[in-house]
Amino acid sequence: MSKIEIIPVETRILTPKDDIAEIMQQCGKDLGPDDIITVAESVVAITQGKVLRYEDLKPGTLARLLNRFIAKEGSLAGIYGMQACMLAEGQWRVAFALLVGMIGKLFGIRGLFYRLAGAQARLIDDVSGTCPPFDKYIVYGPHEPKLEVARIHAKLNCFGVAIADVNDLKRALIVASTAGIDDAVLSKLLIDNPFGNGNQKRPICIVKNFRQAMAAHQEQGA
Amino acid sequence: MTCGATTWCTTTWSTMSWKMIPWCTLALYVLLAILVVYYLYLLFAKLQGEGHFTFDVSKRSPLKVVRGSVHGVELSCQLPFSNDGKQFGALIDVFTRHYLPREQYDALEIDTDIYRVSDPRTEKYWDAKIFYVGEGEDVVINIRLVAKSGDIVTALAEMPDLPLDIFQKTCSRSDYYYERTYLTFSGDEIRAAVKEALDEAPTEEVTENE
Repeated sequence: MSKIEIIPVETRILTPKDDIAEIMQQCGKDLGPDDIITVAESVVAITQGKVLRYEDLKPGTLARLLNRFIAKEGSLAGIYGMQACMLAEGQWRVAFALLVGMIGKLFGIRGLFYRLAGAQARLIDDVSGTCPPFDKYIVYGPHEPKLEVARIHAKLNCFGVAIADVNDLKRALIVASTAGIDDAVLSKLLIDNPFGNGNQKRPICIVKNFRQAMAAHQEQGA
Repeated sequence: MTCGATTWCTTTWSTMSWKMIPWCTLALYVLLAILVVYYLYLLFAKLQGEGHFTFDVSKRSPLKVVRGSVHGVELSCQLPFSNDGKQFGALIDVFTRHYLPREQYDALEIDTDIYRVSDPRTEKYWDAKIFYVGEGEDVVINIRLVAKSGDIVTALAEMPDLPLDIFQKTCSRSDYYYERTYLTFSGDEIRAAVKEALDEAPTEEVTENE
């Protein structure tokens, strides 16, 4: 079996003026039929223009009330992150999710808020969450990620494309992937954050021979 | 006319039905409940607190010359900052402003900048960063002085004190805000730092760094 290999790809800082599909097309010229290419979710969102400055937001009463119940590490702990989430997912949905989440915690069930509040509650990055010059922006999760991976895949000759949200805290969430990719296998492969931090400018990772590795993993599982 | 509250107060829960509660009494109790919840929230927010950054001017290191030439000199110092508030805080932007207008002293071109020790930069950009309670680090302040004509020692001879403010754009649980920290570099300190550098290194060596 060919060896699996993860190759981080360095790029310049991408902005809303870039098309992520074109950038990945340039980076993925040497991709084979068993390879996949992955991209960091915040970079996809930036190229989609899904960024806001604090000055663009007017936090409402509900955002000011509810942000205080979010743990300090969360991007919704500030009023601007919370307001940005409410704009994307609806303020009453977020409020309801927070209420249910708090009740859930009383009964030892964790993570209900992020499950109910919508994808953006999980994916929004508050200031400092992304590399400069977007460190001063709130960066949303990508818009229509399923359609975006399909659009990118159509331009490439490879097994698949995935958008991932990976950090140094051993979290690797596959936001969207094309058909055939086992998200659990890919998540395990990306757990050590080959993208590095934002300042390393490696928003794209190529996983060589992913299909074979996935098949081997599934055989082991069976 | 008596208020419905009197009727309500003398009625026990066991015998009471919703129809018996006058609408104005019900509204009053709903309003009271909202006020209680609101004030409880205010109390919670106050107890929870905010992040706050202090740049400790009293711990500033003395100015030192880091490079120089016959015409100009760059001085540098460090001072610590920390989040001494009760919550996390983001330092979104930090920059310096110096206040020595030409009306007061016209012999020098002045430029200043600031950066974190862990993130040295030359393009005057501050990378936003979150600091949790008690966290902090040192910042470096650079002051570049160039004589408008002649040599730097002569241009510094009559230099008055140089006021410099550090502007911080900060955000925590509430609205972002700007805060400023006042610093003053005395003319004597600047001259002494330049003199010390000249005494330590021959003029030729200092000039080489031009």
